[in-house]
Amino acid sequence: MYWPFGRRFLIGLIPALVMLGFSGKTFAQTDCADPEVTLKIASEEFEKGHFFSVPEMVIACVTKGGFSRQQLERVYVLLVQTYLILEDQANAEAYYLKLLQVNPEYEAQLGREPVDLVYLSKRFTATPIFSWYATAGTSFVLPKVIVNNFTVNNSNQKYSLGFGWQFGGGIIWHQSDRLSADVSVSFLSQSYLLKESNFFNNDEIQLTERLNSLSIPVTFSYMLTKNKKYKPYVGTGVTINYLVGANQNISLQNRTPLFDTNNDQVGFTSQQLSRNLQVRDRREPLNFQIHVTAGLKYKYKLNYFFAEVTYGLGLINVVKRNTLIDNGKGNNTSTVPSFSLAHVDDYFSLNNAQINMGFIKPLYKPRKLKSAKTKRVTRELNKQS
Amino acid sequence: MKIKSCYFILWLLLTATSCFEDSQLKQDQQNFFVRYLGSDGNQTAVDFELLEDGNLVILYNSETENGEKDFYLTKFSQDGIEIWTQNLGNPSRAEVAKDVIEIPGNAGGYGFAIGFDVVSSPTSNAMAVLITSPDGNKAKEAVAAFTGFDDRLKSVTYNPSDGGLIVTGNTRIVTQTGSRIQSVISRLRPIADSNFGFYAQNEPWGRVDFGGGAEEDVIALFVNNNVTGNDAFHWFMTTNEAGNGTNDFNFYTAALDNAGLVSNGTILPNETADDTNDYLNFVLKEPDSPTPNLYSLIGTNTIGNSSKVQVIKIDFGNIVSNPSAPQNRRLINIPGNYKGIGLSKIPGGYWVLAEKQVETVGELVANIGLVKVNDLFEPIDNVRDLQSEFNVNPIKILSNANQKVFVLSTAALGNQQKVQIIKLNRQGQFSE
Repeated sequence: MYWPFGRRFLIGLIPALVMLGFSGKTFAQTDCADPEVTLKIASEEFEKGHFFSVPEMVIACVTKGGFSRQQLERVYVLLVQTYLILEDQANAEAYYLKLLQVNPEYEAQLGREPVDLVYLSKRFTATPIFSWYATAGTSFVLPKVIVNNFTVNNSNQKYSLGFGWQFGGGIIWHQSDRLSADVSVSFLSQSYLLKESNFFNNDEIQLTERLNSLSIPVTFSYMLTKNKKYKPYVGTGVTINYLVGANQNISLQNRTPLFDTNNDQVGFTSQQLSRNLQVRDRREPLNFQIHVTAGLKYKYKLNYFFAEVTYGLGLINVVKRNTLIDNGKGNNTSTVPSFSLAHVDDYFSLNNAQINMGFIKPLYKPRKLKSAKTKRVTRELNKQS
Repeated sequence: MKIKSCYFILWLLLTATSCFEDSQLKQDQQNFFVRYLGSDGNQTAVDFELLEDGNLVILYNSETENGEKDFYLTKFSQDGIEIWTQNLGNPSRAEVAKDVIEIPGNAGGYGFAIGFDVVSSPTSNAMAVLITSPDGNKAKEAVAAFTGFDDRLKSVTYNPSDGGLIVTGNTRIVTQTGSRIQSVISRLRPIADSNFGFYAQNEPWGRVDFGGGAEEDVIALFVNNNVTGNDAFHWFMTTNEAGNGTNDFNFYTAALDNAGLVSNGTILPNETADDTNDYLNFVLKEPDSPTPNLYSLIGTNTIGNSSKVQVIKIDFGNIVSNPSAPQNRRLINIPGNYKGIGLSKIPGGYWVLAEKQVETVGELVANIGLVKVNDLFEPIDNVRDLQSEFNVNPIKILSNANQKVFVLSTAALGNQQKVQIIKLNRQGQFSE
């Protein structure tokens, strides 16, 4: 009879069959009903050196389900360790990827895990390439006057902050652990106030303008610390705002001094002339800003909450030049107040401050690195030896 | 690093663009603006002039809530910056300013002569002239009264032949059948004075009286620099003709001799239809004309409720031939109702300032109409209507050497009136 295997094969087969006999006995003792029991038995088998039995025991149970994320993490760590001992590199890597899917932040550490697992972990990462986020907050805008287009000499102009708000969402691209770039789209509603006094001596102009925009900030951020629960960061970038609507409420208070019989002024009589004007056509549709931001990310499970403060510096004049005094075809009184209310907009850019809070969902991506980051491990091992 | 470089380049580009834009924006104020002058109460525009130093001087009246009347003189740069403002009213009486001119002083420099009325009662006015120093401070005052009954000053003219002033206006004379308005002139001779180097002394001089029921409304007087005999002065007014008993108003010109007496008068144009009236509003002596006494007259032709801008050009006493206009008269063809207010010469033509009558919620509202015409007064561009929901009454138009256009108006802001000065570019627009 022809026997295709050699003598060496037979010598190796004997201990394998012995081990299989043991494992067969043990495997028969778990029916996957209790994942914790399965894990305990598998760990015991691993400790006893019954490495071949471990994968069969746990893989079948994992397939059946019922494991928590934490239990799964322990299962995959056990499997990776088993396959490393069995010198099955392919399966060790495959299960390490599964391990990272369960816990993207898992990282084997010297002293806690075997050296070969630590080395293996340095060949993988699950750091996100992209994250998405949602944000909302308040906004305060203040015009920065470039040219004062006054209509009355020596009047006193005072701009003040108006309350605004915004909400939106975006995507973060993580270039490295510290550097990232993000782009978002937000709906931004902001307003400012103008009070012009000493207008014809005692009169006053009061103006409130609300600007609604689609805002697209592109920000480059730098994380100040790594791997901590609280992650402060700073950033800078460019914002493009597309104006979708602008409304101006303007009133001219005609105030006449009142005098008593001693010719002392006792107050004013006042008549108000006010208009509500749609002024989008008198504003540049695109507005560009550079901004700086500082914030703090707080890690919650695998996601983040964040709070940040952003200051945007307007780069361009937002008031259209050819509709400053009239609508280009004559003074259209429904949009231009230069003749009816003696008001001409200043040329100004918009600086704003925003306080935002939001939620970041990292899109973890377990993957094998092109080059393993093992130098540090080797250095530490050398130090220990 | 590539991303950082891109960001830096983008930031650099945006910053450079914004700096370039800022410098352009700052120039806009030199090119166009709208400004208002005024204080408590109502202020109405009267007159403005471009000065020898390139600035503007603006004269306006003010009436407080209590009915007190006085007037102000403001010096303005061509960029719309106020240089000074002087309140020249006399608090002990009511005054209404009518005209301002820049006059040379003996000590060098220029001052201003302001013609105004002293109002004693609604029918009791006296004409007066105020002389100021170059910074607008009151220096001298002279009364140029005629009857003192209802004298109303219209214009003040500097007379270079003697350094004095000629005041023209209207006065009311009482007749057996009632009263009527006559046009009058008064000569104010200079007297050397150490204070400002100029003093005016009243010397009532001459008048136009067509007799009958005729009334006149004088508009302007010019000195004929080339002739001093029977053609020493050129006088312009509206009259309902010499005693023909009609209400047909026309432009009228008169040459005056050295004694201020009428030597030659002409009705312009010579049409007599009772229902067609022509009211003169402004006379422009053509600058830099080869013909020394070339004038362009602008006013309003009225037929019923219809108003049209009427213009006519004359080499004094002779209508300049204009074959396209019947009777040598031209109505500027702009759809709608427009009154002729002012003219300003620009190369190849004129800016015409008109008052547009706009019907708003059943009310007629006056607004500014601007139209560019050629030398034959044919429109070469569409009319520019500068609309407001309230009255904006245009008063005068000027253009500077750079052909920038200035318009003086009285603008209503709700229930108050203020003085409005606008500057437009050479296309008559608020943009570059």
